[in-house]
Amino acid sequence: MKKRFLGSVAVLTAMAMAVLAGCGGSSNASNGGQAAETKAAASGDAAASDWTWDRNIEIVCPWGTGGGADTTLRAFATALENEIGVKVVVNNKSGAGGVTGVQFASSQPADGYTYLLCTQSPMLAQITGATDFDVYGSVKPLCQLVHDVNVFVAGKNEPYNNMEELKEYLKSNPGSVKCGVMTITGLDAACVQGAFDGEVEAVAYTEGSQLNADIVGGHINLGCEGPAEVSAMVESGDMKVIGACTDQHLTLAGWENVQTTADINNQTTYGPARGIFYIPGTPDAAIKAFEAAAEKAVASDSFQEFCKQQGLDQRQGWLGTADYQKEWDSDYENLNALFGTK
Amino acid sequence: MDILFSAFLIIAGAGLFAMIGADPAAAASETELGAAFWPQIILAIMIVLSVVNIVTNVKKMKAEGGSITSGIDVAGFFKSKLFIGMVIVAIMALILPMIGFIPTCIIFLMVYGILLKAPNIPKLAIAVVLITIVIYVLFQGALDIMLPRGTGVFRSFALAVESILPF
Amino acid sequence: MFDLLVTGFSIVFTPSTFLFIVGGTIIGVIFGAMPGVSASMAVALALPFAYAMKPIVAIAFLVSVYCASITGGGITAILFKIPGTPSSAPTTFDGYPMAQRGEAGKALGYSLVASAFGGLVAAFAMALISPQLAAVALKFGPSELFAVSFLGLSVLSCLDSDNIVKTLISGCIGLFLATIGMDPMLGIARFTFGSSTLLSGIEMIPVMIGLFAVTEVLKQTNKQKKIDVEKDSTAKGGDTSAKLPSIKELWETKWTMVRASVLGTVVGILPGAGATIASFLAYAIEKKVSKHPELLGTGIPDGIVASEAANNGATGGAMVPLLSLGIPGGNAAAIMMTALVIQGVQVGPLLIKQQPEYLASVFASMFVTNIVMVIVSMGIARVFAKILSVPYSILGPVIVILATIGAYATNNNTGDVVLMVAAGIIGYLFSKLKYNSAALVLGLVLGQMCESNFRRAYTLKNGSIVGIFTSPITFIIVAACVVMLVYPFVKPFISKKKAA
Repeated sequence: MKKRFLGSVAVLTAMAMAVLAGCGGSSNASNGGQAAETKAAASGDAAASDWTWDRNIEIVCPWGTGGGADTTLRAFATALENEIGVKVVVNNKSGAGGVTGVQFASSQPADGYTYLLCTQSPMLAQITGATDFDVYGSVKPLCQLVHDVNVFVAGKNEPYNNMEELKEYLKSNPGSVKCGVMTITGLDAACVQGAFDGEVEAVAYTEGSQLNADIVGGHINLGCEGPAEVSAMVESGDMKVIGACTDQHLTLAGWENVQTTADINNQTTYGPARGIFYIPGTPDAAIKAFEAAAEKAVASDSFQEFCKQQGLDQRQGWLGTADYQKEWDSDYENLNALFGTK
Repeated sequence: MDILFSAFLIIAGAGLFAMIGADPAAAASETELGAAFWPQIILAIMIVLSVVNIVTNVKKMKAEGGSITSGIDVAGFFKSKLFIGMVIVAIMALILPMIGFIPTCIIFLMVYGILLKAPNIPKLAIAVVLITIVIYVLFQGALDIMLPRGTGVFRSFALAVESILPF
Repeated sequence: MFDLLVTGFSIVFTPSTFLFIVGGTIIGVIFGAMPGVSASMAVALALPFAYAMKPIVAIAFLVSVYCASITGGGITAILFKIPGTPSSAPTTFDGYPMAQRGEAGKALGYSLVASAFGGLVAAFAMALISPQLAAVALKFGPSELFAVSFLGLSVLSCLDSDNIVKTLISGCIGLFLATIGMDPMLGIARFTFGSSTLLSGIEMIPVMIGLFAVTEVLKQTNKQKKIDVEKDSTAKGGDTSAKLPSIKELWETKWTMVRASVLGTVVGILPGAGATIASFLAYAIEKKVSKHPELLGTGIPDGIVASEAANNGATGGAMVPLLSLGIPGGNAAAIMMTALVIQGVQVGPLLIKQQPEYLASVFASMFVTNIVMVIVSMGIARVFAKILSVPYSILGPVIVILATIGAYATNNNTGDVVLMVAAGIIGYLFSKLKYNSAALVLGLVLGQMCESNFRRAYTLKNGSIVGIFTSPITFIIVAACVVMLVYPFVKPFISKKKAA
């Protein structure tokens, strides 16, 4: 009897709290939203100051906890929280090479509180015909956070040390070199294809750890990865860096003399660009406010320190909405030319 | 019943075998076995084993003098609690994305509790609400798992509840 | 080496560090016991706390969360048949029947001690012979990994000796389900019928949870009258469910424990394998070498011990390539690596030369965690075991809700809940028709690893199937599998000859 009484008291209190706080919360949100809308409507051209953040915002991450995309987003989310004053929640919805997450995000209401982290990969899945979902049309680029590079690495016993020697080796031993990649329809495979004109066969791996072990163990000749994934093994001398898919030399300590694709007169510079995307229909003021806050967050010490540690500072990371849109469109065209099936 | 299931596996297996074989993108190349190779091996083994299973069962059936449909009580199954249970669980999975976690949880716990003949309905109701609160606070709050919010009115409700969580 | 151990323990036994290890262990066990919270998620959730700590304390804290989370997964596997982490799935085979008999405390005791033992074996392997082990692991390329996964599959033939054909069919269904989705080598869609939900493949965890937990609740729904009677009898028995196994009883499982721990550690070291594969392999091998294989699966300690010692061995084993090569052995280890790098630890071969104190503290905290864990998780398990006394009309539906969250939280996807329910209903049909759910899960777990490594090896050997078997390691393992597969069929003939 006593138990039951206590139970009902607890329920009642909880319910009362829920009602009170719930009303407070929701009425605030709707007031704020309306205010922002009316202001935006009045001025016609929205500005960042027209928007106030009333509740937690959510950024969808189409890849699982612990991957490169997720760690970057979490570092950014922490920095962004300091700028906008509300909590930034990361929602991992992985699957189908990122397409599942994009699909989920684009199905959410475009109220300015749901964003998406994305790279070129889901778009590539669309271009290669792996999915029928219109990735390119369903989300729009807001700002770029980091732009990683792809490097070629080899085990320490491979008979070549740089891009030129590798090219020579390929001439005398055609078809003998194979390169491990993480996504056969991804940017890394595009790099292999582009940098060696199809003379190196790309082999797909599902676990990054297995790829690294196979390179060190001599089971595969080459690997195409980001610097963060291989730095430990390069430093210990188990792997050597053959080349980088960039037009400028790297600035990472010890990597300054690595040959680039530009050194062998090749234009291949694809690298994963991680950026924030919005759902079409999101209020202009929200986009502007997000862009302004994100720029500060990306410039913050904590985020820059993170990029440095992860080797993500090799290329200009930050791009505003207009620049990122241009970059995204040109990637779409180039990749379509390379992989397009339609 | 067992024979019917095996027959189903053979037919489905053969269909899938032909389907992947007909996909030009799955074909093998000089250094790649192709996407069709492995599934076709698996399906072939499965079909052979299912045939073996049917043969042994038919032999057994002849010896015991049963028929293909013996051992199935269709009418009884549809009236059983088990079938109702399956339907409830299936409905739960389907309404979850529509009405969100909290309402689904409360309704499901109530309905299934009644199906399992809970002795005291009001007591059950209290327990159900309490359990829902505990589970919700634990997973949505403490563990930061974004439980489904539902759509429309239910989404607004979920957002309102989320805003009172202390985390 | 001795100096290193002394340094390690002197670091760990400072009061504040020790406190964080205990805290980390508690958090780890609880997170691990929550369905849907995998070891990698547990470490990710603990990361924010670690940022605020000094590097060595943070390492000790994260290591303890990491090791303890795998252990926690065994608790719900035993009590509710919901594996908290996928690697605890084989724990349900024997743990759940034991709990149903009112021996939940015993089952939990075996599970915890075995976990700790597996963890300790891995910790010593890491501290003492890490470089040598890593060198061996590097010998395992695609063809060798194919052989390892094939070894796992060869076990199908002995999962249920009364129904070999049906067990093999179940295994094939699992292997087939594993091929649905994006092809691992070419990236093209297979068997997706144009659906983008199926493109990501059939997720392992919802299927497991569905086949085990949901099927179980459905079964109980059908025979509920019986349960209430059973409930009465256990209630009369009073404290039976909290009774722990005695030292003597534990000692009887010593060889199982050693076998599974070593196997788990070795499999954990191989990049591309992992704790789930380790525990299934260990369970299967136990079934092969056990004197009474027919009892495995009915609720005997050996099954629990094999599974739990192996998965903890594997979690610890994954630290070996991480620390000595800079290659994380699995997802959770990958998060550990990010965390360690942020704390300024240089993972890789230089660690032992340049920062031996970090290696020492990783080892010492693994050691201490595994011992603290037994005490801490026993307390937590007792609280969980109390839940069993709740009437089934409430407990049953709650299990389904927890299973739902577990399935959903893998990808935060409601589609996985539908998959779980489908698996639950199929699981019921399976048990009615005497097919084998465990075999299906085994096929699903090993399918992709087996296929992709076979095809990868084929490509690397320039399109030669014979080339794959020229590696001595591959040849020996595959030959052993063939012997294991054929033996049950040949055995009657051999024994007949002897008799004659």
